[in-house]
Amino acid sequence: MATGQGDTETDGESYTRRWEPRLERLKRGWSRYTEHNIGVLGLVILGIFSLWAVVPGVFAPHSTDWIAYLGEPPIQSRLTAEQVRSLPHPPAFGDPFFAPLGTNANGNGILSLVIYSASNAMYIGLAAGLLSSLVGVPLGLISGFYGDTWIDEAIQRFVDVMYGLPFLPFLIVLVAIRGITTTNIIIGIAVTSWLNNCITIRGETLSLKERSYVESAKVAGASDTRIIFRHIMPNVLPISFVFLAQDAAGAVIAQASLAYLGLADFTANSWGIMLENIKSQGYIFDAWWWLLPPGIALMLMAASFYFIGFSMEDVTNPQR
Amino acid sequence: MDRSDDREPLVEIDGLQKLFDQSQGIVDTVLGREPQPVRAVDGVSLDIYPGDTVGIAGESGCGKTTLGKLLVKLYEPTEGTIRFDGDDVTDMTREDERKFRKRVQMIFQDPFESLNPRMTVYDTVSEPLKINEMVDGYDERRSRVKQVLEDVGLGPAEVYLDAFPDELSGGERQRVAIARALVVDPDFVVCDEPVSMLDVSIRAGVLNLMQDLQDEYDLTYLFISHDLSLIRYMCDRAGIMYLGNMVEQGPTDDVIDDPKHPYTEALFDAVPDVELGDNRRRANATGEVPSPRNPPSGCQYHPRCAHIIPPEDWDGSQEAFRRAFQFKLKVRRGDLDAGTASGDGDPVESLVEQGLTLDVPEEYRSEREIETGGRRTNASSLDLPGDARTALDEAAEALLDGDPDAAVAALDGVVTTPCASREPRPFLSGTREVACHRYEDENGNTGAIGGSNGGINAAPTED
Amino acid sequence: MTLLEVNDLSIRYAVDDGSAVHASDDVSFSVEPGETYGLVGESGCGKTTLAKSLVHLLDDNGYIEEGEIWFETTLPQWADENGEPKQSVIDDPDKPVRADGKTDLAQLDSKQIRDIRWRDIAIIPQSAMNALNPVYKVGDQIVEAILRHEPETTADEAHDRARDLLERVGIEPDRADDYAHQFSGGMKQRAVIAMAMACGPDLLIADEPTTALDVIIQDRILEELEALQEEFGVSILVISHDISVMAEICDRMAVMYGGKVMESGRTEDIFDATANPYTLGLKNSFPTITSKDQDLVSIPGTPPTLRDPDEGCRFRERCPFAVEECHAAHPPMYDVETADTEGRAVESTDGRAHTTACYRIDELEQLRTDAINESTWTDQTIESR
Repeated sequence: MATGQGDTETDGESYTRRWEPRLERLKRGWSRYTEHNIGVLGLVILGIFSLWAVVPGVFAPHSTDWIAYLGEPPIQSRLTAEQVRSLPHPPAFGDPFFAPLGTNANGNGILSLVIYSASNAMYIGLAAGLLSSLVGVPLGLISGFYGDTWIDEAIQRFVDVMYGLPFLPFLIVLVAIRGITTTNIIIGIAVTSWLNNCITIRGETLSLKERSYVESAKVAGASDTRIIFRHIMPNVLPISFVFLAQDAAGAVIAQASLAYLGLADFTANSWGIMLENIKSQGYIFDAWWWLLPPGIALMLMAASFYFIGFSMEDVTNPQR
Repeated sequence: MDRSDDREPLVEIDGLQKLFDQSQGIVDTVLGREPQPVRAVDGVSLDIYPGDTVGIAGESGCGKTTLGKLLVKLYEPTEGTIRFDGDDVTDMTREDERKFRKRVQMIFQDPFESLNPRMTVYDTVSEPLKINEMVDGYDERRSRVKQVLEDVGLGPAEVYLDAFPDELSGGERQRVAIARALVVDPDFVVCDEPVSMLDVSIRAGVLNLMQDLQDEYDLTYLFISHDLSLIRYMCDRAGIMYLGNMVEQGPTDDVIDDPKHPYTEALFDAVPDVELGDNRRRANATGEVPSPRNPPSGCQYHPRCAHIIPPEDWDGSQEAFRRAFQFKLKVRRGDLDAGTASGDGDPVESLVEQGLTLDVPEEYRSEREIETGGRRTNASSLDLPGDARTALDEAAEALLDGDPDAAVAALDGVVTTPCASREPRPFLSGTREVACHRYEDENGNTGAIGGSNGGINAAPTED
Repeated sequence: MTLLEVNDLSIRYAVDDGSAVHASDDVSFSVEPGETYGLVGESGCGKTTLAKSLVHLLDDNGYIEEGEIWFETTLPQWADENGEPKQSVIDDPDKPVRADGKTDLAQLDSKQIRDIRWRDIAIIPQSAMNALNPVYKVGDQIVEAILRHEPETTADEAHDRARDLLERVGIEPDRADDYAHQFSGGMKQRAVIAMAMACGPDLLIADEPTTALDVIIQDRILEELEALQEEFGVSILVISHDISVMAEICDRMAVMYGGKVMESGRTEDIFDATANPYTLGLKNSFPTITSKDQDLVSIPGTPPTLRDPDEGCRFRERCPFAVEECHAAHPPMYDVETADTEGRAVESTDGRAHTTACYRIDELEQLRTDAINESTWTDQTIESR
């Protein structure tokens, strides 16, 4: 039945042809996504944060080393006693310096600090979220596909044990052993958040593997691996994206909480550290312009991840 | 039929059995209970010759879908063998299994579920080619896929290649499923209710397509359906399954026009037909299909059978025996007890008359039954032997005394049937094989055909 | 006197972007007391929507655009001591009551329609076996139905009636204390029928009554419905795509396609003197158990979209006999008998005659002959994919 006459296409062209229908679908998914204002809002917020993360210098009025009254480094002079007493300084718009959100106790501009800290939060959020998915999704797929066999049992018992692991003490121990670095924080967060991922994916897989198209792949002779990754995984990925968004949001908050507790890399700029600083330096009730911005920024970033996740859930799982 | 002359069967099924749920919990084991597996397929033997279209019909739970899946090795049989083209496929090497899978394919029932929603038509149809490394190069594959799509009526194929399943209608999806099955050029295709989820006016097109493709691709079909009119239209031979057993098989026309097994008869009587209208004769069968986990002993159809065989020493009518047997079944099930006796008059008589009723369509009921809305029948007008009548009265009395066990015991001596003690093996009768004791002595045959040794449970249980 | 008279009923579903799906358009039919009337068609033809609309059971975005549903009943608040509508109500132009005593169900509000449901019109839903609540006893569910729609009944009375009803449909009354999972499939179906009959309705709507059942049980249920009709004189409106079942149980039918009635009349007439290309095509594609050498022909193409449909005949895309005028407007209902005997096309509004929606009614014989040939159907070019 096979005929030898193929079309005379180059391989590059056929490659694009293969992806055309996917692009078509993506476009449709996009228009569906934008039906939800909340998803668009999430994207907008995240977009702003991403810009801050990538080119903070464009948006921030000063660098993080800028000191009020004295300007950018290299700093020539020192603060007078009166100037020191005026720190942290509420928002000032030109007189005696430009700091729309005021300064902290050291004289650094709050707005600049907030903008420069965005990259830290984004990095941790996305990295922890991705790591969590990279562990949770394959384990969930394998566990679900081999449901009710020893493979599944083994993985699930492991998950059960991991559930018992308390987040904070674990992180403290991890950090005590390996040191307070951002990488360790990411690992610590991912280690506890992959569990939900795994279980949900497992549930989906369990139900999907009964579908006729999976049976048909078996009848065609597909190996187990092929079935899991070529046939089932594409159907499971949409949910995992939602989890990714949620895990990222959770990671952002978790990292900030850790910083607040003093378990963070103090050489980096992060919102959590800003909050820790205001607590440890005792200005919580006095300097609202220092207290609120990092908190609000954290909230907005986490919320934007959630909004995106919400909208994506509707795109992938329409409930009309 | 001159089939056995020159051709070897393509598929030989011998005593095939598939049990599910054979394990049980600790509590049950400790309590000494036997596991009660679901006997989905319970001793089926069948030969399929090249070029045949063999239909498997039956109601839900009869095991036809399981049989289909066993043939494509989606399930492994618990017992019995399947031979494909002479080779035993129950235990194959990896290499042999690959070859097998290129020759045997399946079409599934649900056009909405049998296509992966994330794969385009091209992806779906080319997948078997990729798995079996049958065609090299993207372009070659694409043109092969286009060829098959045109063959199944989806032309021009370019339009369909990049479509996703949710853009296609049910009929189109099913054609894609057929294309997927045919792209590897198989010899044998198992079709599991391929059109039952399609709109009525689309079905004929898909069925006709399947017939055309049979010639073009040189195919042998196993066509599974609960819709008997479709079996008639598509299949040369048909097998009727009930609770995992093949009760009758033979040429379709013979099976439909002259059914030998009582279940086959009831099944085809029950089908409504435009021509017959309301002159159709209704199905003469009581009750419903029991659970496959706990099938009746002996011939599994006997509790519903209109032609149940009375014991040798029964000198009354067969109908009377049928009613008496139903009486016994009701007592055993607990449907008849002291509370059932109603109305005035002698309670024993009343209980007997109520117990002897048959839950069948009106045309098979007695006058009294019709009058009383199926509640009572006239015991005296039945041709019951004396000892049977006595046994019934005894049983009724025992029931009124609140002792159902004694009631059953009273009936056990007189109201027994070979249908409940021995499971019938398929016997040759005319052009067909029938698993029914009524055909046991025809042609002097008491043995089975085709060397099947599954299906006999010789231990006589209580009937 | 007719029990139900549906006139020009048009039902729409509102869609997000402002358009409307025309689930049914200008549908008219009538049901007599004690008769079984069938609505036949494939999925998407509008038959289920039509039936649901009679008792206002449409989904939230469904509404009756226009049309009347005249049913032989009177709301309690409008009735005099004989149960007949008061003259003042008939004369009142705001009240949807006609001189012959019928009420227009389309005009009733949600509170008023509740008086009609179950008491006058009851529905046996599709897949009725799943309509039973698994956590309540079957008998209690029937009792609840009775008490909800006839609140003046006492609990004891209701219990007795429930047991009685079960017995009538062939289930032992003691089973009223069992739960749904203890019933077999056929028994569940019968129990649901008993529930529907609980308040003695005049009209039973059976939505695909046999689709989910095995054929032997289907046989008994069909017998049951016939028996009910004989004993209680209830009318039955059957909705199904299975024309064999319809041929057997219906006295009269309407064949629907794309939201419109294509042909209607007595069952024998529709099958023996088929007068519509769609019906001809449908008959051709249906295998029967009795005939040995059939040549089934399917109707190529797919059903039309019902979203803001255009004016022409709904079937014209797939019809091998379509001509110029079919594109202009959907044909009116013509009387078949006049066409067959006198060769004239006469429009008919008589709900009881054999009517068809086809412009080529004067060439019926030719159409019937041609329709048998497979080539008639396969040789046409299909416009849509």
